[in-house]
Amino acid sequence: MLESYLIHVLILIGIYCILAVSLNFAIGYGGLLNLGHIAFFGIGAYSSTLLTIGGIPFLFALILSCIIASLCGWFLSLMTNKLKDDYLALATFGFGLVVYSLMQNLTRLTKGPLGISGIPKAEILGLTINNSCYLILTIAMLIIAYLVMTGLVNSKFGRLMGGIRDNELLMKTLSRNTQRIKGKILSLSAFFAGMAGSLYAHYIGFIDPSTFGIKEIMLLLTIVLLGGLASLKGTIITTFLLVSIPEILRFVPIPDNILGPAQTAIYALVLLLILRYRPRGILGKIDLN
Amino acid sequence: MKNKNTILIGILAISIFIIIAGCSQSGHTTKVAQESPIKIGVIAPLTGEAASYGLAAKQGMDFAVTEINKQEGILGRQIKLIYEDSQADPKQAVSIMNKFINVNKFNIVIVADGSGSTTAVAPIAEATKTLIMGTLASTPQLSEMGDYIFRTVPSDSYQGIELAKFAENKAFKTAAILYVNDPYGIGIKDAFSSEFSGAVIVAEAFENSDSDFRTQLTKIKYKNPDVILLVARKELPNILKQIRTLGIESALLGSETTKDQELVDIAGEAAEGLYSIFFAEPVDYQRYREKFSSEYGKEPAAYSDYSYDAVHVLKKAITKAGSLDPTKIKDSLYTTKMYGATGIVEFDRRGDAINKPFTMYEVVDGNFVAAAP
Repeated sequence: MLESYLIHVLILIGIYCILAVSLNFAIGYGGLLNLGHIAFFGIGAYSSTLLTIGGIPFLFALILSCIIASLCGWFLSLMTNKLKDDYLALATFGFGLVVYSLMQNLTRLTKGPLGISGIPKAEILGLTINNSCYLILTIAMLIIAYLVMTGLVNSKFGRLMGGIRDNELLMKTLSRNTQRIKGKILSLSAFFAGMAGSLYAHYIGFIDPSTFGIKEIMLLLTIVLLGGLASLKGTIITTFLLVSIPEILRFVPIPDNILGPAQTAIYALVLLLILRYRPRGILGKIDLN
Repeated sequence: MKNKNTILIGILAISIFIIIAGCSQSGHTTKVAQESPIKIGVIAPLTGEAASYGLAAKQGMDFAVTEINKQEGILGRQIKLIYEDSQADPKQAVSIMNKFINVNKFNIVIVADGSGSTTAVAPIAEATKTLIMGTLASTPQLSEMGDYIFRTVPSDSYQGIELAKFAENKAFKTAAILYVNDPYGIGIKDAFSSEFSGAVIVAEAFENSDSDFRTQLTKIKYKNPDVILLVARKELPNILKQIRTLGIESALLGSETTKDQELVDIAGEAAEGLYSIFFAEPVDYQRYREKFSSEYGKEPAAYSDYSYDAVHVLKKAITKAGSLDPTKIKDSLYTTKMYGATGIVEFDRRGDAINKPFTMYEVVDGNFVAAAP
């Protein structure tokens, strides 16, 4: 039975890998410090939930929610096309907050803070898939996401992205439509975040706005920065570490009156140690700015 | 070279962790064979925003365990609670539930966590026939979630209905609601609005931990209701002070969470005349409070009481069932009735606490005194 617990942890790791890798794609390769990334995760989760409750089969809902998130990403890039660096970070952070308050207050649609429970389990061709199959599905999605993103990064498009990240003005003088490229980066990054959101919602079976709030942005940024900017492998390793460490700590015998704080403290210590010895992150190649 | 070393050290450290963890687990199991205490898992927010509720609940449960273990225990065995920290995050709660069921093999789990976490773990409990006892989650949603889900805290709809009846008895014709925008606040607001025979003329929400309520209160003042229902926790003192600053004259009615001496002390004079509902028979509660204070040297905090009752009612049901089989315990819980810190503890077919006695209190000279209904 230990396997079922491990499968559970691996599914969570898989979902967070997709989410973190897609964020690193935007920040590390595209140079877009997107602090509203969690909003796409939430948009994916909510749209997939509402679509399946409305009777649309899981796989279609999964794809549709990716597309919806992706459109929101495109929209965000249109809204922020004049901004860069700190200003872009602030604007995207604001976007995250706006989406959060929409989830909180569009009660007709999202049930607000009550959250939506009883989300239909994932079904393919009328068969409910169990956790081990769900793990396979999650890993398959992660592989697709990873291959698409590494493929792009190593292509001509990837060099354009790097160019924009390192010197946007130069790219403009070379008559590149940088705005268009940035739009593509954000919508692709949002596409995979939406995918992670959909997988999350159908796995946990309950969503409420708190899962997509500020606290989660911090976790994601930590994963990306610790893993190293512009290193998708690093991000996957760190997601593995950061999601599994709290689970490993549950097996360390700690007296129960200091249990919570002690686990949090050890977790923080591990983060500090990594940064102390690897200031660019585990496999990082570039510094932030 | 240096980089490789640090990675190696990292991997080494983690593997040591896992080994320690593994050893401690196997160490536990050999112990169990000798004295075998009954183990019950507890999911509670011990850190994070909701930590104060989780820690209060923990105190109540620990107190109940000490009492039970001092006496005969359950079925002649001691009982032991195994805590895990959920940080009030549904995702963590699901992880913990998975661990409790698959690794620890617990049959009974107490969920001293908010409505979000409890609704997230309920389907897992139902599917694996694990009994869960909620002590904080009062959302009406939970009632319909399965046979193995119980709770000692009454559903919000019950509280909202009683508050509405009280308002009617006081001949209030118009009401305003100022509520916290979370499942608790929404649950009570909805129940009150549908039960109250007068008119709810305005309902305003605020976010958890807000400190400025003047926008909402100004709207309420303009409508001039007979009574304002406040569904608030730690925000209460600020709300009360701002009500007085704005010169609002309406009567004030508070949810159960407002019956908290600490909050009223902070609010000072602004709390005068506040009516609060509280689910406990004064006599039972008094007895429990005295025992609790002599044990810990302080008053029981809000949220301790339902958790205290949860442990005791489980003990009673298990003893009655004579077995640790969750299905038998579930059946015996339906017919178990006891008097705990919060008065009568018994459950309906949906596992909800019913027939909860309650008392209305009024703040007079800074203290809660029983109010006429």
